[in-house]
Amino acid sequence: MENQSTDATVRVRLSRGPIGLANPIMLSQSQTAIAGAVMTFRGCVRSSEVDQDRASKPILGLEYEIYEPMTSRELHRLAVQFATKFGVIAVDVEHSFGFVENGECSFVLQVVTSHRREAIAFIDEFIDAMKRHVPIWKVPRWGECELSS
Amino acid sequence: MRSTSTNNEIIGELQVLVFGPQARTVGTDRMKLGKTKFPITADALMSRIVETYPNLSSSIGVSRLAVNHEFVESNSLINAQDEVALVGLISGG
Repeated sequence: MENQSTDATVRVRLSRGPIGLANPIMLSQSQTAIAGAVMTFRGCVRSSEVDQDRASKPILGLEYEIYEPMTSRELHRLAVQFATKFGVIAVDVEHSFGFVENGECSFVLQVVTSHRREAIAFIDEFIDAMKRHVPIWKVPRWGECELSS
Repeated sequence: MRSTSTNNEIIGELQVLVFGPQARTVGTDRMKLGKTKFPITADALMSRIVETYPNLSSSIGVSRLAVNHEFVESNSLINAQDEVALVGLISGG
């Protein structure tokens, strides 16, 4: 899902399984000229989760569920909303669905702004809003990974 | 959805999609609410969900309804042909 209707370039993708190294955002010559801050946030799966009794237990990973097309639409809506608020030049959002093993990444957010403060604020506020509004669920797959010898 | 119509009132089964931890709690990804009178408000539907699936009572307060892939207000009307999803306990990232 791509959008050029706002000043910012906004791209949203959902990918099955873990996300590897994300491709850097491609910028036009005019965007590059004003891009002073390029930040990437990677959200990764921890090796434990809190269960219903609020006890921390080891997990093999997380199963992510989505509800398309609402998940993509909400990610895009929030990206545009906060890109407008912070004068973002370009933003790229990628989130996993399906199983992601612990230690792997399930979310990558790249943002380009003229100055760092806007990029940091964008990342912070976008993620807070995503956790409140975007239909993405995670279900722990309980268990301990076997240590390789 | 199977439905019958009497005058302007439609009565039928409404299926509500459910995901993640709440789907595990109710043991299905498609809740079935029989004999639903349409149109029904989102608020009334939430009450019916808890009546039918009391295991959701602890999480219904942090849940919202999406109708045709859009979040709705509590007084929004839901019709028989709408696609309805319960969106609760979300945790992206």
